[in-house]
Amino acid sequence: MASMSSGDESLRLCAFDLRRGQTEGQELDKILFFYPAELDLSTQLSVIGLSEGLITFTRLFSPEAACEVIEAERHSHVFYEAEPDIWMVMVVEKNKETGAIWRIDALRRVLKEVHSLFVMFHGSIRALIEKEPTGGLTRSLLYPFITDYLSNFFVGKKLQLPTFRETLRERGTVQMLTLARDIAVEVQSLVQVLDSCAGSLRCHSMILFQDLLVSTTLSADDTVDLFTFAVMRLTSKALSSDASSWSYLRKGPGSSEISSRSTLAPIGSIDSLHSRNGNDMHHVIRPLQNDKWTKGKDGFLITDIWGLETGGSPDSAIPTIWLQQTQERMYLLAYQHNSLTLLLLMPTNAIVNGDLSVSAVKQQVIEDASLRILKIEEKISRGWGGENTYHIKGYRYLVVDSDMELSRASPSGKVTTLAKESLLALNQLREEVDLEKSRAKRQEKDMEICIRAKNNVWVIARVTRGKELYMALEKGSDTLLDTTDAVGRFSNRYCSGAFLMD
Amino acid sequence: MDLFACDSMLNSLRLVETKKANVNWYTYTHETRLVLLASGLQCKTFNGFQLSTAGVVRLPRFEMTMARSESNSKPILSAGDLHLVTVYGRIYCLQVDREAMLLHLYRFYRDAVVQQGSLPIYSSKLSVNVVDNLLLVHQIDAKVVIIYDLFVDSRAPVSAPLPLLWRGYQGSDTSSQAANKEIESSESSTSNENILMYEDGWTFLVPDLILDQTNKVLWKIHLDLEAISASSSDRTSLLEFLQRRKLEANKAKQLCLGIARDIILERRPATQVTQAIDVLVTAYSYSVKAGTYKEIKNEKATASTPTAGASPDNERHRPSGSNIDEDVEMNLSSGSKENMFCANEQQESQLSSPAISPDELYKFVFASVEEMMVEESEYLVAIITEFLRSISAEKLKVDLNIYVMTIRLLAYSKRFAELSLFTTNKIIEPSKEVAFQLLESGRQNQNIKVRKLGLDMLRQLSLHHDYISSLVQDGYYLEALRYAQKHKVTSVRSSLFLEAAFASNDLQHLAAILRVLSELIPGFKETSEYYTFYGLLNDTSSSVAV
Repeated sequence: MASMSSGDESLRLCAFDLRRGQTEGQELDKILFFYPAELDLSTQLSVIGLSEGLITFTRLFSPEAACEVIEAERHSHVFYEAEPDIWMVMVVEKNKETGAIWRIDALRRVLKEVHSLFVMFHGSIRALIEKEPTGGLTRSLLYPFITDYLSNFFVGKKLQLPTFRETLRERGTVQMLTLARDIAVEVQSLVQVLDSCAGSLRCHSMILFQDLLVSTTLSADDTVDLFTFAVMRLTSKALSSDASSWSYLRKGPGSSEISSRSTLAPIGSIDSLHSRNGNDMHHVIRPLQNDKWTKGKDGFLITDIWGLETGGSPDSAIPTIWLQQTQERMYLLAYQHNSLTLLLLMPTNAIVNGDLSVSAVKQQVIEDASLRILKIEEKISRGWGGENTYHIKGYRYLVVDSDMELSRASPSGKVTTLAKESLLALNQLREEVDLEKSRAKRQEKDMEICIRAKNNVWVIARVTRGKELYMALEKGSDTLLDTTDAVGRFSNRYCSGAFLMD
Repeated sequence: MDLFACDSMLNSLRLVETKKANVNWYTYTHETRLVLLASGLQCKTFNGFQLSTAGVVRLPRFEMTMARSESNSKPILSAGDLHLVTVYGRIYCLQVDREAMLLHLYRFYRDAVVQQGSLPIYSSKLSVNVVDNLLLVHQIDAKVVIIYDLFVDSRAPVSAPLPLLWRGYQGSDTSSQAANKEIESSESSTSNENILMYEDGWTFLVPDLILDQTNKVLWKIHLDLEAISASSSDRTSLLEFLQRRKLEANKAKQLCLGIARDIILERRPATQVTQAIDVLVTAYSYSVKAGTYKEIKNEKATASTPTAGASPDNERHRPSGSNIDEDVEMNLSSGSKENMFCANEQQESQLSSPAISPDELYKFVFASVEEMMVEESEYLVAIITEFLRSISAEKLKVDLNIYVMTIRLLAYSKRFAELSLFTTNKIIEPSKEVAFQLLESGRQNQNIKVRKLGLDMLRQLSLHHDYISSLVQDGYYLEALRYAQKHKVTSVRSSLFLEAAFASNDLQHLAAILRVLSELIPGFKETSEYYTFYGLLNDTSSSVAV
């Protein structure tokens, strides 16, 4: 195990329950997840013990919001309270030489993302623990899940968390495709057809074009989760083996190796401590497993993650997810035509009751919608300008709408043309803005910052009523006036004047 | 047999041309200006000549099909078995084939005659009329009439066979029995009981008249669209059928609106409703392009002077006689009181097309069902989306109130994700009214996101005053003032900003606002408002200092 070279120093990630293992000798009980799993238990406990101590300590002063981050000399500790008393902590090594410079909020968003995805597939951790108090079930689900998730961050054999180079990205937001009105109307008309594919029972749907959202009927939070999952595993890009270079979610070749370890590790280490009932030993579903989805002949995507269709009832092999907003369990059907991916969600209880069969819904989709899907895909593809569609000459930008949980940014291929210093300056500026925002808490803060960095780049942050704009302008000769003008023009032209510049 | 084709000029007959042909018998109708000469043993070989202003056009010789009877005797076609009709400006020849019990259709083109299907017949005696471009085939033995619309490729009848009924001169009085036809009596003394349908003495005259020699009256056939729509179940083709009616455009239009309302209220599957809407929208779009659609408003303008036009609804008591012209005269002389009474109906029946504009669809269909459907707003939204798609495909515009209504419905069913998509993709076209509805729906649902959509729309529309006022209302008074300063808007009451800042207890803000306002509004420092708040500022700040 010691031979493990892949980031065993650079990253520790754990999840623990503060309500568990409060008595002497029972400390191991609080650990729900630890990465790397191979680490000896005493080290695991010391990381968690330190985190727990800090949380308890800081709660004395700030009971509402405990510790968020600790900056040690060599490490940053990022805290995220995923659910009441369920904490996720990430410890990352700082290393200027290797470019390991992070923005804390970007790291916290990684924790937030993996937790949201977990909840989407398995329900909340607290509910799982309550269902099965030994925690064995929770662990057996968390281990493969987070490990599968982390496999996205592997570049070669090295785990690479989002660094300052990804400062013009916002994890946990949705990227949308801008549609012309006539196509948008047709899309909405298709959405109505999809939603009524289960007869009187209303379904939910989401449509993506490549890695961009076209439409959704889900709440903003559910949209983000499902969108993230779709971009990771379902879209045409995710399915094609040559993984995209411009998507920030990279697929790593190391994934299979990780996965095989992940299922073994918990059973060998933690779970052996508990007596497990045989029920839990059944097939553990790993929704984030790589390369498990393929496109079937009828256009629907198929996977054996949820089991094989031959075993048990025909619908048991169909993926299910939980919706946050309604707390409903839904069947997930994915249909794909070229670059267009359609996700259809149907409440499971209606199907379990026998009111509806999934195959009937599939048939309905093919009958009612496939022709429209074909036409819409064709129309969108014709108008699609490629991955640089949202590139705006002279600007390197990120616009975030935190109300709608949307973002749009310069294509990553264009962002890489920025100098390292510019990216670092912008990263730092964003860090400052994050800090200001968290201080302001609920109140919506109005901010306008323009800084000229060392390499004469202008880095700009503009925050107004739930909308944020970050920008780097590498025109050293420009004055502050030129810069605000440039931002003002950008705002008027591309953000419908949302960012007023003085 | 020789045929002389003659031309009348200046009350004199002059031989223009002589054509020699073997002819057994001939048939001619003035309506079609077509002479058909039958020849051959079975009289089924035809030569046709059409008389036109440009001279006589010779049609190619053609043969009609006739089934052989079992006895192997060859049936002979007689002139009575042939009917020439004009439908939608096309000339058809209908040929009765008694052996096959079929009515063969031949369409005359400029240079060809093409058989276009056959209709089954159920009576050995048969006659044909045309009303409003519909082919009425009287099955005389069965005493029913079957209506065909030759516009569509399908040769299926428009409705089930319907009886022919007599309807008195009360004309448009719909309280009388449901019927597919009204026959206007030409003589008021003729009583209901006296008249037998399909008497032997009837002679059918093309296009829509029946000469009743027994009763010495002339009948005019009239379609009862209501009865036809009541006996037809396929709503989509029924709507198409109604949209093609010219004679009673207004009635057809009202029926269409009624059908559209009903299918929505009956909660028919969205696909069916979509088809129906598509029919209406395409028909409208077509009639606008063809120039037949006229705005109701124009009609209303002329409403005060009802003219005695050929209003089929109002064909009144008419004197004996067979001349149509006399009918019109009679109509003119009918009482003014009566005219007043049906003025509304008359002016609307002048509509030359039953086409329904998107605005009318909104007003008479969507707006009228909204209240009843509010619990089923999801269904209604689906229908409206299809409607918007349909009019967008035809590049038409619609009353912006439909957008206001869509927002209301989406907000009612809490479908905020879609509301946001509809707005950002401009499916809901931006307007002040729409923006205000967004603000209102956002307020009702305490959904700040929806409110922001409204605010963003106001800003995009450059409705500075409303934007600033709404911003202040939401508590963004600094942002609002900044915007006012940038866009030099002075119409917003300055006290709004000041009170908002004072209410939030932020003295720095209050001071800043006072300063900005004095720069923005000339003479602001002289107003009482300035003194009030300046005083307040000084008082409070000194008390804070103490």
